[in-house]
Amino acid sequence: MESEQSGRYLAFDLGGRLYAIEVERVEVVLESAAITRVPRAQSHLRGVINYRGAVIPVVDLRIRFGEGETATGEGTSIVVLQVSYGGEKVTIGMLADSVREVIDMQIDAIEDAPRIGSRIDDSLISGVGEYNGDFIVLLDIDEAFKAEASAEAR
Amino acid sequence: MIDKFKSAFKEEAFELLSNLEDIFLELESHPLDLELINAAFRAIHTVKGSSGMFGYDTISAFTHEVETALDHCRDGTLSVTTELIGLTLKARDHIRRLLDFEEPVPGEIIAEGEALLARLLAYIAKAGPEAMASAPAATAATPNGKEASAKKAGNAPAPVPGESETYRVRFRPKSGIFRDGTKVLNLLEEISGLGQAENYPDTSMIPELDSLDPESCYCTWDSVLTTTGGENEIHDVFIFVADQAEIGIERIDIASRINPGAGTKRLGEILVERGAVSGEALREALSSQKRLGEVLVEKHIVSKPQIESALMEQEHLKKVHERGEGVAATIRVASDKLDALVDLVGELVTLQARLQQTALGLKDAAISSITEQFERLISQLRDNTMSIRMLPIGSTFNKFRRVVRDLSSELGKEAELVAEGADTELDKTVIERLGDPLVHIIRNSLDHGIELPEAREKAGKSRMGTIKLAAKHSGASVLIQVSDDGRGLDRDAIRNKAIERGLLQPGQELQDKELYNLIFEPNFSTAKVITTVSGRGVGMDVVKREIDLLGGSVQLDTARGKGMTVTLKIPLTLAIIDGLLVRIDREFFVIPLSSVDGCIEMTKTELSTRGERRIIEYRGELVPYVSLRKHFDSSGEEPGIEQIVIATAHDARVGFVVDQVVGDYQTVIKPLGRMFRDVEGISGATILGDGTVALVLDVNRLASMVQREAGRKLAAGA
Repeated sequence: MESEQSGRYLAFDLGGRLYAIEVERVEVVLESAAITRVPRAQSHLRGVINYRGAVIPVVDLRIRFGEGETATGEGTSIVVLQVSYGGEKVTIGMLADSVREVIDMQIDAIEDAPRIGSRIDDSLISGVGEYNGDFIVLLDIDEAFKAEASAEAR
Repeated sequence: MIDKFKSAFKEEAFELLSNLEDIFLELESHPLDLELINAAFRAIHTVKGSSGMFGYDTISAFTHEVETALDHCRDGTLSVTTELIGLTLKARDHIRRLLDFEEPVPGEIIAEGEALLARLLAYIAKAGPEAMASAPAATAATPNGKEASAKKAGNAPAPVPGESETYRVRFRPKSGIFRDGTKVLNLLEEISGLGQAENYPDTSMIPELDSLDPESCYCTWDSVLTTTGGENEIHDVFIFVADQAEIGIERIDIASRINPGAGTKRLGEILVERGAVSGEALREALSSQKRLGEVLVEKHIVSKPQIESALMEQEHLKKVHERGEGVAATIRVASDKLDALVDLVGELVTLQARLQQTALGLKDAAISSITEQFERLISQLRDNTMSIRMLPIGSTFNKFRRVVRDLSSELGKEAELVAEGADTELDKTVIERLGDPLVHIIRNSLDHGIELPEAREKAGKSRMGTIKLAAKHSGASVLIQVSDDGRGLDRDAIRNKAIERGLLQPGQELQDKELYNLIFEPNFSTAKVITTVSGRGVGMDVVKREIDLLGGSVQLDTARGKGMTVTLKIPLTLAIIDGLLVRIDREFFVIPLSSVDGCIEMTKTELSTRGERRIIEYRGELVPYVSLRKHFDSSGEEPGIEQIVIATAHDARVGFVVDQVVGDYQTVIKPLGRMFRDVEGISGATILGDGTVALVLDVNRLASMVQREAGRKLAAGA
């Protein structure tokens, strides 16, 4: 792994922490959308929305991280992005408390980064950077679904 | 550009090969049918020609040898046997495989083809010595054959000899023909065997019974025959009776073929041509108002049999004509274009729902009327588009005929597949997904159902077992039945196995139907010996799962010693369905209308008096019901009056309690995606008029879940 990389990222807040994801993955940020709950689905799947005529899942990463549910309401955004799910490209919506902006920054690989005192599984973090003096965590979003996809395959 | 032509070539080749499989299988039961042999020859000839043209030299070379074999069949030096059919079927499969490769084809594949050809040539050498002597091409091994066919492919495709012609055959035996021991019926059958034939007997000369001489022949026959055999073949049929009968053979000039606009010949023209009536008499007859045939008979110009015979000819020509016409009336369209069209119509339907919702809010009469017209048009457009994607299910039946043929010989059994309702139409996507489950059922029938020939004889049945595959429409569904006349299900064996597997308590009794349904449990097999075919218990559970996914149901009927019938009930289409929109709290769900029986209301007081007994009376039947609100953990308060939607699932009724039944809804089904794969009871989603998403219920799965949970609760309570 390269020790550092730089590029353009989308910064957003989730559960009081700052995260970044590669901007190329992001299709659009929806300010609000009516989420339809899917009964008896896994809890981090908050439901489905209509995105340009297709039905896509909405995931709540906070539940995935075991940090409780993201409140939906004013300001909550849905980031529509592409993830790799069991080897297939899937479009999903991801809940975010608020979306900041697209930033250029340099990311240090996780080995070099100091511990950030997060309960998040290290494997979901592909690096950390600095944004306005704060730490910002670069999410490895594919990793978040890897375990699930392989569990399904079994 | 070349790729485009290549893919067109492949598409055509796939179709020809699929036809060829049919023809071969048909030929096996009618080995003397010259028309079939010719059809096979033509198909293989076309594959050979076009494969050479597009540079598929291996296919062209291989096909050349198969063509040679069929040519021998055509000229009668090689007779059609089961062994030959087996070889040609294998050859067909090989050509099909070759189509998956580009040149150069891998060596091992070529080697396989050569081995197959060697067997074919060996067979020809054994069974048709004459053929070998007269056809040097057959001795040429593949490398030379390649050269020969490449040359041929360069030219325009040679006209296939034996283009079909229609003849009028008149057979007027002398009255003493029976005394010479001539069997007239055999002659007529022989005529019919030459091609597509219609025979008309003129019985008007048969006298009253008391003056009838049973040893005399009073009948004459008129036949109309469309054959590729040529006039001489017809003469050959009558060669031994030439002095015992008056024979007339005439070629009918099918004007419609030269000038398609002309349509079929008129009755009068035919009669005049036959010399039965003069042109003048005909014109005179035509001036009256009655139907020509009636008039002519009334005026005693021609006899009734003559008219009927001529009408038969007209009918025959019409048929031949239509067959030619049918080809031009269809066009070939890539299936992904059709899928794109269905998607677009789906979007339109969704948009229309939005328009309707908006119009409702505006309360503007002008807009409302436009919206209504729009809805009608879109609904027609939807039905038309869906009907384009409908295919006759018969297109998959051939595959099953092959499965039966191959598997029965592998198992040492004798069985034939009888198909019924092959023209029943189903959505293409549904047909595609039906293939595997049906193969499983048929294999199961062959392996477990049909007995060995000796055992069948002992049981007083014919050696040959029959598997019947029947399809028919039933409302918005299609019923597909696979029945066999084998030994049927063994109740005790299933019971013992169920107890062994812990699915049943030793003392527990089950209804026959429930017991038989256990064979759909995963890993359930009562076969004592594991064969390559079955006994590992994979299969029937796959069938059940696939059919459930299609929104269909499976039912079993069996009688010991008599056989088993598996009935599949499948919805016509998966893409756009009629649904019933229901509401629970603020959430909307769609129940497929095809499984809805009716709706009833239920008040809260009614509910409380019923207590834990979750059963309601509906049309004199006690129906179990489930509260979807509870089942789906919905929030909010139950309203004072709830509604129950009565649906049919797995042939039993079940009620779903909802807050409100909103109404009919044209539902474009969208998949929920893989992330929701483990969610049971929901088969998809749809987009409502306001742009939000509603979930589509999987009634079958929900019903099973309800049953399962009820069973668990009962077990816990007891």
